[in-house]
Amino acid sequence: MDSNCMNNGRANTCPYRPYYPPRREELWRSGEPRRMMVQRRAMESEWNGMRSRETSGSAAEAGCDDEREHSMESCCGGEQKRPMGPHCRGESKRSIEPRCSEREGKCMPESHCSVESLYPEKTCCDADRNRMETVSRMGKSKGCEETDGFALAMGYVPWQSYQRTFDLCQGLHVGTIFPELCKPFCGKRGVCRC
Amino acid sequence: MLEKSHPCQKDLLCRINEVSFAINDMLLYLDTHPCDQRALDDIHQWVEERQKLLETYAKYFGFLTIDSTADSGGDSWTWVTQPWPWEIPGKKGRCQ
Repeated sequence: MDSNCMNNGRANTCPYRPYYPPRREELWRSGEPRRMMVQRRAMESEWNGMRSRETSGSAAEAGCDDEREHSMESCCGGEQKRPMGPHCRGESKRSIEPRCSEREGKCMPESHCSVESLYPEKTCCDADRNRMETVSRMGKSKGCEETDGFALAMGYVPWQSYQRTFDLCQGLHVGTIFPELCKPFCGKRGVCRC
Repeated sequence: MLEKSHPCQKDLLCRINEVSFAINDMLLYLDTHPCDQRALDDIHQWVEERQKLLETYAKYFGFLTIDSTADSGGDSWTWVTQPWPWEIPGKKGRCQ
């Protein structure tokens, strides 16, 4: 695939993958143009908004252009039929929207979905089975606002495991008996003096 | 070095401080890991050692905590008569 694709050149081996927005730092390092970044963020907001509406159970308010419905056996705990989101190819191809015209021929989306042209990994499959498998991997109870398995806007502290302890005399001197917690300050005025 | 006849007060107090600090640090760890058996074994060992050290200190130099008042013996309340750790002649009782 073209390196300009948003999937970072990875082959999409899975028929349907959950979409995790790429990290902002990764995109900056990859040299994403600002104009593309703005468009991507707009698409992410639209995507997140539609997913939140879907989880709320208001299937009719999903705001999908495609009014065809398909059954949902998982994802967001709903078994009710809900409209297919714009990211879903469904069983029919749709034309690329004008805003994605600049991407024609670059990503070669199989579904020609406007959103999929930006996020090729979100290629949909016709069968709901693949969707279920993907959602199972995401975790039914975790919702859709996650990055790398961690919910957004929350602080996390790694879990300490008991390895060994200092000698008691050394522990009193350094301020802890756990070597993994011994982090002396070696700098001065923000400069490392190690 | 601890001697059976008369231990060094400074060294004994220093060891008490070390063990007490280790107990406090391990106590914090056990607050988040209450079922860690290794940590429980270590803290139990240190608690026993600390108790023995306090008894020894109370026997020769007066009690440090209210729990070891019985070990100091005597017929007077030595809490106010004995020198405080920072009043010990020499190196002021500070652990080096």
